[in-house]
Order: sequence, then C-alpha cells, then structure tokens
Amino acid sequence: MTLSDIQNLVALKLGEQSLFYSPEEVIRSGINPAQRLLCLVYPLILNQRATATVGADLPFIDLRQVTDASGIIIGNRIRKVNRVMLGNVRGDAPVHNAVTDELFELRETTVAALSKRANDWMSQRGLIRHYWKWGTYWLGLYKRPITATTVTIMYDAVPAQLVGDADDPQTQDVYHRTIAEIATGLLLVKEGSPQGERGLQRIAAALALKQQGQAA
Amino acid sequence: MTVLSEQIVRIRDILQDTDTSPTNISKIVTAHQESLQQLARKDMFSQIQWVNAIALQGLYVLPDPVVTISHVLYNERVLRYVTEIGLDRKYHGWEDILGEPKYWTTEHQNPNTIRIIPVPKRTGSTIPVVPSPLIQNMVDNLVVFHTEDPSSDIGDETDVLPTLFDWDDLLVYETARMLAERETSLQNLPVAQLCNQLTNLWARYVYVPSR
Repeated sequence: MTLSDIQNLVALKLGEQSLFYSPEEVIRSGINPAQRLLCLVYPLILNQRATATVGADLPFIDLRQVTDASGIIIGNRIRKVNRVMLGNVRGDAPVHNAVTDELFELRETTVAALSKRANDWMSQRGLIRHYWKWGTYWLGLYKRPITATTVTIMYDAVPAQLVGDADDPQTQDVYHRTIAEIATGLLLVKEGSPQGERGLQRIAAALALKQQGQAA
Repeated sequence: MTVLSEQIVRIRDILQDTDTSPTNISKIVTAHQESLQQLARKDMFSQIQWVNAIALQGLYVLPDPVVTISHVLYNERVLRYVTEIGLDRKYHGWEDILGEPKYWTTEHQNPNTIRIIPVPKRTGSTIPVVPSPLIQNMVDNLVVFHTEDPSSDIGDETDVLPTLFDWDDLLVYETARMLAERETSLQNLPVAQLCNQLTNLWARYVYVPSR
C-alpha cells in the first residue's frame, strides 16, 4: 500500500470526516507516528544495515552522518546499534577489511569499561576489536584505526517519514493495515472520552499488547 | 529529529487548538522545553564535548546545557574522578599543584564547573582538525563525556530537535498532556489522561542507551 492508500483507509475508519481530520493531520499525527510506534514495539520488523567508513585515527563517528547506498543520510533513524562488523557485509558480496583481510564481528564495550581497562585507551592505535556507544549518536572503535576502515552497522531502524502520496512504508505490506489501525487510534485521542479511550484500545489491540490494560 | 514547528502543529492537533498567535505558540514552546528537560534530567541525551585546556588553569566552566558529567579525558588519557577528601589525604595544597592532570572533581564548584588536578602546564591547540567528529585536537585538551539538556537550544519554531523521532513522539504527547491539564478555560482532562497513557506507552519501549 502507498501512503495515499493508507490515508484513504484511515479516512474510512474515521468516517470520512475530512474537516475534523484533515489529510495533513492524518499523516503527521496519525500514520507517521503509527509506523514508528509499530517498529518501536516490534523492532524486528525493521532491522537494517549500513556501512560507514571511519577515517584514519578517528576514534568515533557521529551516526547522524551515516548514509545509505543512495547517499541519503539515515543516521537520525538509527534507533539502536545491535552489531558492528569489520568490512562491508551489506550486500551479497562481502568486502573484507582492506588492512587485515577479514570480516570480523566487533565486540561491544563501554567507555566505563575501557576507562577501567587502561588510562590511555583513547590514544591507542591498532587492530580494531571492539566498538563502544555513547548515547544514541556516537559510535566509537577501539582501538583507533591506523587507516581508513569500513564497518557495517546492523541496527534497529526508525522508519522513514512518509511524505508523498506514492511513498511506500519501509515495513512489509502485511503491516500496512496495522499502521492504519494504530493511526486511527492515535487520531481519535483528541476526541477525549469515550472515543479517545476506544482509540487507545484499538492501538493496544493492533499491537497485540499483552498488557492491554495499561494502554487501554 | 524534527523541526519544532512540526511538533507544535501536532500538539495543536491533539488539543484542537486553532490559536496561532505568537503568545500561544510561545506557551506551547515553553511547555515543550519543560517536557524536554524532564528527559534531560534522566540523562537521556548523551554528548561528547571538546574543551580547550589552558596552561595554569584548573577550573573549566562547561556550557549551560551540560547535565551530568561521566568521564573526562585530558591529552587522550582518562582522568579519575576524585573527592576533595581524597585529595586532602593524598596531597597538601593540591589546588596549587602544577603538572600532568590526573584527576577531576566537581565538589564544591559552581554548577557545570570542573576542576582538573594537577593544573595543566600546557595550552592545547585550538586549530581545527578536519575530519574529526569533535573538529578539534584532543592532544593537550579536554574531552568530556556528559549528558545534556537540548531544551536551551529550542526556542524558535525553525529549530531542529536533535533527538530521535521516538523521543519527539513521546515529547508531543507529554507536552499535550501538560497543556491539557492546565487550569485554564481550555482544560481537557480526558485528553490529558489519554496523552499520559500514550507517553507511558512510548516510554515503555523507547530505547535508553547505556553509558
């Protein structure tokens, strides 16, 4: 389904009240937050990979600068880094790390653990065997690379905003009606009681939340 | 990571607020800053800050948005956090010692002020190093790992929130709750309660990075 299809479905669910629920509102306050909530509750729906090249001697990178294969910045949609691999394993033909000729899964560590390990961890250059995260946006490599190094980042993604009528959600088709149902629930909230409460029940049901009582 | 104006429109959608006057927008922005600060106080927004180290200067005032300082590096080496009692036991007149910094403390300092012990003898370079995520050289300078309060940078509708979309969604519902609860003629407690439930729903699943 395209954005336009989902929008029409939401309009039908809301009784086609285009005056009370404008088409723009349906997208910004309904469909886009709905697809994000779906992927937030079920991160496996949208797991992705991206590659980043870390320049020589750079200790960390800003994930907000990471781009996809088309050069579009995806960094602000990297919700959680799950794995980091040395080399490029995004496509069908893995590209080994140029320096060590290997595909190597880096182990996660933390700034606190590195600080306990060695006072000079930040200045150490050499073989990269670990990665560390600082908050949502900073991804560091330990040790600092001697030459430019490509890593593949596997992450839970925030779905891209839907803007144009022909835009397709990044999630599988099977979830598009769920997105419409959650969007309807979110839009109903402004009506207060009892419609808004029914809206939350619809969200809980669409997400098949086990603890529906808390959201309903 | 959305423009503030988009979030304001979403908040107004929920509140069915058609008032676009600057006064009303300003009220929404102020409430939104309050919501953002709630998250900032919980150390949700991590940041890395470069600070120029100056010879013979032990006190460094960090920017206002800094909330909690976790780690400090000097010249790419870890400085250990120390209490003043600990320093008193170890050194006599430690405030006056010059040398290679080994410790940092915030005890009995003004907010957002750190003291480096011993006081550095060298001034670090301020010449930009590009490419570098910090743009500046870490050699002979300080690098501070901390959390920040992004709300101080959010005041204009064109400002972009440096947060993930997940946080933006949560903030929209939290601010809508706050505004719907206010003792005004526009008070709408049922909507406030529903927004509160949505905030809780988002908060239950949103990813909180480890530090």
